[in-house]
Amino acid sequence: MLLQVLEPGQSSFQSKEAVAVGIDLGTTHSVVAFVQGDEIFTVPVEGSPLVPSVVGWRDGAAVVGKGATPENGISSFKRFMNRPLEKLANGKTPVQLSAEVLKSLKHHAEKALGQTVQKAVITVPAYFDDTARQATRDAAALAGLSVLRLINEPTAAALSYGLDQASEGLYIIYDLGGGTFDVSLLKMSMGVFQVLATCGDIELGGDDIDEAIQHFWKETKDVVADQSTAREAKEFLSNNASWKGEFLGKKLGLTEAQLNDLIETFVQKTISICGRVLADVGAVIHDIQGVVLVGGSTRLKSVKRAVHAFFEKEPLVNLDPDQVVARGAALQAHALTQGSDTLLLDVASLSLGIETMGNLVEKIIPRNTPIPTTIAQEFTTYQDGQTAMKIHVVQGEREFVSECRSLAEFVLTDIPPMVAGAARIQVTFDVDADGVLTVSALEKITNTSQRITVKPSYGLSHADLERMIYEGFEKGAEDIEKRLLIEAGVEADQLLQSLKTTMEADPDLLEPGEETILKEGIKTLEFSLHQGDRQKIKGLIKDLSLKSQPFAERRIGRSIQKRLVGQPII
Amino acid sequence: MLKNLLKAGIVDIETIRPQATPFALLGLEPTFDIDPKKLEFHYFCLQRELHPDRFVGKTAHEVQSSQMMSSWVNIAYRKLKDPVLRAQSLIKIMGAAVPGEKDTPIQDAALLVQVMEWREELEGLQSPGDVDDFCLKFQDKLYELGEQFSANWKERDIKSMKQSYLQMIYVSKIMEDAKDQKQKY
Repeated sequence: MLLQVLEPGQSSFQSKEAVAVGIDLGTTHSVVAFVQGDEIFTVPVEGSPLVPSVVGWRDGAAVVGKGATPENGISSFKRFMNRPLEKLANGKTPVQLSAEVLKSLKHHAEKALGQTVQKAVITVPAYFDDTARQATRDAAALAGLSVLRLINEPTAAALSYGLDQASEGLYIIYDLGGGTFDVSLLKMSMGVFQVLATCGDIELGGDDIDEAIQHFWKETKDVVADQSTAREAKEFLSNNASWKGEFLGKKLGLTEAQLNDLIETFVQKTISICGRVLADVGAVIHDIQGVVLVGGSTRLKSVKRAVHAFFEKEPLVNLDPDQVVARGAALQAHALTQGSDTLLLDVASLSLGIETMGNLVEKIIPRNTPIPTTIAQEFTTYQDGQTAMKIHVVQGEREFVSECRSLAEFVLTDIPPMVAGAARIQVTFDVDADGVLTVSALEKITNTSQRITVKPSYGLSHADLERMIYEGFEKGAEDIEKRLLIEAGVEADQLLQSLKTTMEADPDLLEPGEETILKEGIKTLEFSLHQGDRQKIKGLIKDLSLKSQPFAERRIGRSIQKRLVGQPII
Repeated sequence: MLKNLLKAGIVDIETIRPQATPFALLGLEPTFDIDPKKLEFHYFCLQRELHPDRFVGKTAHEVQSSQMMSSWVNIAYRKLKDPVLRAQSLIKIMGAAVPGEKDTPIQDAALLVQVMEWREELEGLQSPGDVDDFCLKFQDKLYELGEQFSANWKERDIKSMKQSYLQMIYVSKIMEDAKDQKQKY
């Protein structure tokens, strides 16, 4: 398949069929492409298919791309798509700004095609959460585009590579873009592109490298240079050993060795994420057939070297890393509208769960589950006579609700009053092929049903989200200890609660002296809860259970007796 | 290709239901020793026909059906691919309660003692290399248990199936714990 760039003004496409386009809505650049006949075309705008994802304003009207300089406009707003309603510049939200870029791309595609464009496949980072995916759909709607499918950027890249090379086997897609890093492990066989695992960091990309360079100049030369100067130096060093330039008359320089030092930590972070993806699948480096580099930041020599060294393989770079995602999106748009022999099977990249007792997360859909998927799980009430239950949906890898992304909360009401543990509440998670979630809950005894589509909630700050993603893996061990402590606390509470209630209900069943012993045990256990020593709490629970066992047996005896004489059990 | 599977009598479209066994959904004989290539081939054939990507622009009803059926096939595939879940599916096919699930307490005291010992062994490991060796050992154990379960299944010996399955559960849990432990170093 040939890659042809269309000359401005050339419009040889007069097909009557509606064309669906593929759009790579990037952090720094966006690209629109489409398939005509057997070829993929990227649409050039002002001489290049790479349209800067920058929105500015002239006389009140939005200007997208080169006409909007970073000085009069706003860039990198994709990084805020997980907070879609926040006002950034000119009172605009990330959704509105993304919509401006999409509108502009739509317009240029229409000019190139000579017909209106209404349908698109839009790519998103594999590690985008539910909120950011919904926000991308909203932005498309604002731009007058109907989204055929959201596809993950690395998957789109694999599609363009796979079709060109008719490859079979396991492939790594290493995608380091302007703002995000994704790595996916795919199996290609029989025309099926099956994503086995994906991992990433939505806060790691070329922007961070530019920032590191700016910081370096500030520290060493006391010059506060702008991002485009840093970017210029960085890009120059992809093919040269040293860069010299200036900013506002002040001389600046950067060598390859200096740049390598500056980005060492970033690169190592991406490599350790690659290791995680292999571990998720249980694959080893020698199982990997090929490594594909995607995203402009993979032009950096040290990135290429690190990837090469880790996978012990020369990475594939025969397609332009800036355009390969849009090309894949165009192929998928064509496949979805015209039919195709190939098939993409993707996975949910982040675990989904709900809040349970003690601020803990019960995972319902673990990450790397193939989508679409629908999984139901049963939960029960915690207290006697409980008639309502809060369902709090979260996304992330951590064990605690406070450390995951809160997606939605709703209350299931009208649960018939029953003893604790008797109600059967079925919570169903549906993740569609776009990776977007719908949650519903059903109380199975009375069929009380409530269905919600998870809509973004904005309680989480940027820093919180960052922490959620970085720390999910690093702090796993600490989490487990904390979790065990909370579980021990819940267990202790249940025992204390039930013992106190029953002692009040049947005081006559207590033997002489027994009450004192049990009250002593209750006091000691209650006190230990404040000390936070899990082993001690566990020991005291066991101790108190043993001590209260004879009393419990007597109570059971009494209730059986009552039942025998036809009296209600209390 | 689904048409081929249908024609060959391998898959019956009527079996694509949420309550069907994962084996029936994927057109395979219920057995522990599945052929992974065949599983994958059937899975791909079904998804080629059922995946929502094949229903873009169709009616809402068709889109929704495709999403549901594709989901069930995905779940069945996951259950068959994983040896522990596969063993669980076979126990369910026998109409028996799955040990460890609610209302089915675990009554194998010897196993619980053994698990405690494994846990102690894991906690005593000093380096990531030790953990890797530990994992390899348990990988082998899981494989052996799979062979044992397979023999139990062939005899339809539900009691032994449950025992082998319980051991598989604990072995896979300890392997997960080992992975977590590796993050500590």
